[in-house]
Amino acid sequence: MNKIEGVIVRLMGARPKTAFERQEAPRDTQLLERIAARDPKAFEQLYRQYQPRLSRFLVNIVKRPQLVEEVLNDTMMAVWSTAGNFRGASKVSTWIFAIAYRQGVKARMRWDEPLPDLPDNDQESSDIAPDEALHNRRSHSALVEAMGSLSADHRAVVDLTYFHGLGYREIAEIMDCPIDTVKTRMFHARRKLKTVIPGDARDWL
Amino acid sequence: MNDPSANPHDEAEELLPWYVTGKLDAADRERVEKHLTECADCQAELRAERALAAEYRDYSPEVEASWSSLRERLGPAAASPVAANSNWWHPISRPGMAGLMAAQLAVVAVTAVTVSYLNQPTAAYRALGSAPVVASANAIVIFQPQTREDQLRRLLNDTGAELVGGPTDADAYVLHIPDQSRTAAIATLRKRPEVVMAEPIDGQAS
Repeated sequence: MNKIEGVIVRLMGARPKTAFERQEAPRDTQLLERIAARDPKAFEQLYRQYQPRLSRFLVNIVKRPQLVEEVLNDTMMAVWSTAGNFRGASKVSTWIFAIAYRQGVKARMRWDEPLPDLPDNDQESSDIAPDEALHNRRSHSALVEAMGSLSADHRAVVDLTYFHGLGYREIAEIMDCPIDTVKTRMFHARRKLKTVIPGDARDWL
Repeated sequence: MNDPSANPHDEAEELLPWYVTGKLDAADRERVEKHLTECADCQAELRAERALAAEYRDYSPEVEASWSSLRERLGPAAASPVAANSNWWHPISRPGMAGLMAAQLAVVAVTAVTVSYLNQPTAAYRALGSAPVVASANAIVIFQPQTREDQLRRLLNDTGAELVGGPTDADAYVLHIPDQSRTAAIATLRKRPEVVMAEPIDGQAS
């Protein structure tokens, strides 16, 4: 396709693909077939392709970086051992993210940490100097704090929507829940996030 | 899949995040756009939604989680202002600050446009291709998908362009550029690596 045709296609409504979509080529399916036939090279390739995205996704669920690596590796081992069961009913990425989500939830329950969803931000903002607190509050840390106050499932929906660029149907598949649950979780998460984002919508109007 | 009895306002409001990320199917998108043309609350919500999505791009849950566990090891020292200043503020908050300023500036620009929209309620929101674009729109630009919001904003500022609408289905933004500087502005935009295309949209040669 030459450049002009490319521009026309774009104007007619074809979207430039996100990183997520670009990586979802027939390649993923082929890799999975090779993995089912026990090809470690294909497995390594798939691992390298998915590690960054899965790591980011999982940290929303299990929070502890040390645990993320363990859960990520459990996820990839599950991919390794069940690749032959993949029937193509969903995209490969959806299938892998769904495994990661289940493993993440399992790990969270197993560790049963006292405050998995509430970092010690409350204490921090009262301990640091007022001007520092003001700076922090008015910048990035407002979002950090707000994300910390959400449940793991709400964080997962926010991250899959904004960062991974997924639609609500795919998110529902990954989290194995009704579509309406995804919409409702996103709705409540947005409510919470917007109240602490600097330059809140209410200030703009 | 969609409850036909659902209130169109609630339905549109719930779908806005995926409207912003371009992940709605045609039917959903049409419903949202139709509702946006008639609901000032949802127009405001859309602006807030864009600001939130932009701010979120600077957010790294991995950095936050790693920092959180490292800070535990620092013990009480982490709570002192000096430690907080050198360890916390610099690596993490600067991009956040940029995001904050970006969001605020974007809001100023968008609000200015919106105020003029609100005076003509039926023309408040139109998607390119579904209806004629508003009268003041005179250029269209498509940015590389990986272009960051702050780059986009700087380009618009540098060329004196105002955002009138978009992103459209094609990820194009509709701009208003003062007539006297439009030719030069489009030429400048075309030279930028972040710009896929920039075209006048009223048929005039640039």
